[in-house]
Amino acid sequence: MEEQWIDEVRKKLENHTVTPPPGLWESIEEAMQADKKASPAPQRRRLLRHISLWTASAAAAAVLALFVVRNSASPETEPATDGNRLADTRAIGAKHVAPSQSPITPTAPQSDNLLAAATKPAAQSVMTQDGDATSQPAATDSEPQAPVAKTPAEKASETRSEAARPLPEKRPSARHDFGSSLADASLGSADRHSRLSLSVATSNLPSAAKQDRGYGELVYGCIFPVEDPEVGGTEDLDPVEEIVLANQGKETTTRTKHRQPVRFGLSVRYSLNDWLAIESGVTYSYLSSHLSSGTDDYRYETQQTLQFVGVPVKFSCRLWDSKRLEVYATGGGMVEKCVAGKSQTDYVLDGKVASTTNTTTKVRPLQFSVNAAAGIQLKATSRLGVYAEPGVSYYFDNGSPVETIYKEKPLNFNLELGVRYSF
Amino acid sequence: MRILYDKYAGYLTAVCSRYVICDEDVKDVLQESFIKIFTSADKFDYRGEGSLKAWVTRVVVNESLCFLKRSEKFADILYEEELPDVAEEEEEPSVSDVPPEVVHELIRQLPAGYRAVFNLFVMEKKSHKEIAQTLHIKENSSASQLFKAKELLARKIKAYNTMNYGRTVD
Repeated sequence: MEEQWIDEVRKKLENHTVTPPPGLWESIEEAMQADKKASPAPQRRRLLRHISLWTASAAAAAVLALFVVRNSASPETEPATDGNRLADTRAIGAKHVAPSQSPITPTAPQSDNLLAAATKPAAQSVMTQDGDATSQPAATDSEPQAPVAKTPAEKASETRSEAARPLPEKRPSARHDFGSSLADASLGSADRHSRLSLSVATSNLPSAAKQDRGYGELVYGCIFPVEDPEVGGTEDLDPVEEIVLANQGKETTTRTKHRQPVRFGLSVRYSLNDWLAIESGVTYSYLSSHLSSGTDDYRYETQQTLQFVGVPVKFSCRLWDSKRLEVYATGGGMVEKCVAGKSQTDYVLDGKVASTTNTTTKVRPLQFSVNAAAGIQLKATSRLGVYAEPGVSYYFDNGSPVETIYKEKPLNFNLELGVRYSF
Repeated sequence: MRILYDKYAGYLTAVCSRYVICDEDVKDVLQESFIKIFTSADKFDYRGEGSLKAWVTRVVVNESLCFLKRSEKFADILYEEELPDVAEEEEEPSVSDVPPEVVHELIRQLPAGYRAVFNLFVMEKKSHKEIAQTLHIKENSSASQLFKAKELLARKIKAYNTMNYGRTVD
């Protein structure tokens, strides 16, 4: 297949030599001397990479723990911004997602400081790549190299404690260079790095509302006990009994409203080949429902919130790829576990709230779902893109007595929007 | 160290300058490369002359490509922009009378993306699949860029022949 002239070209240039640039040897010598004074460059780079990996993984694990434990009042706005910053940090710090390598930080540090600390090792390792002054204004923010006589653990805690530093300004260029400097050091395995991408996203399912006659409850058995009430009740009627008595002969309605669940997630996508990739990650969902049952004057109202943490697994198949646009299809499933839940019921007697009860709600069984979606991604740069994945999902009935939007509308349309960064 | 340098400096300068055309940059890239070579020399598993040459070549090629990526010289070319139409099925150029320095120079005149693909394919003997992975482009992009690089280089060689020997290719 090779033309003859190409062969000749190759033969001519195979052993061709060109006079080296003047002063090359001297500058090499100089650089080697300077390097000897510190420690060997490749090891330092490798060490810093390990540290960034550790710190980033620890940061990720800690932030995740934070979200699971926290019972936030405004989950819609907070998690999204935190999640975006986490993705940026991960993009800078983590080459692979390798949680097994790192110990999880025991304390509950402020997520801000951890994020700042995680970006710092990355900025430092960018600093060790000399020669590129043009796009590295961010790197000058970092401290000068400290001697690496310390053990990795010491160095890691040192970077973590210097948490006051603000995040580098021009993150996109620093990120790009870090990626290419990594590619440089391991060009032989370049294919593995370019297969990985990280995304942070929010997804939305629609809300649902219904209206029934009679009384209802969000958790079967919570308002109207299934078993017989304990013997020896007090003389006072409990609020439910009061309501039922007062409403005798009247028409009662139950209005149930499941608000639009808010979910956000982090995921990692690994390309198996040119068109097929597998993706997994972690999601957090916040479900809120409201039920109002009775008549205007005598009713009870329940407000229920549930928080789920889930692990999705999906395959994605690339249908179309060009410089600016990628179109793909995904299919997969997810398993979610309710990690926190509470509900508050107000009993309205004669138009006034007479009493309130608070309970914790637990959805014990796991929630399984399957989904399929089409995806379209706009590439802002060769590594960064925004995407939208509209699709359908189906939530399997897990037999739990708790009413959620998953139970109410198992087959649902959902839209995921996110940002994806490719290594 | 000096021995290694003296032996391969000329050759590696040729390798590097095939990819990087600004002489100042060539010096920087070579400096980085030699530092890498010297500091990793202890890890290199010496299996004879040929393997050493291959290894130092790889280091320089990698370093050159990294430099080109960093300075974003690839950005315009590697995404299949519309290029002027070229005539098909031209005859092969005659290379035998062209001095190596001239061939070297003509390759340096190719646009960055073509140059890289051409060098990797013809000189480093990489497959399109490997080139695609290295440069983060698609395999068929690599193939089409090689095709265009060859066409462009062929025309340059023919122009040189015409200028210097007053005859067209036969």
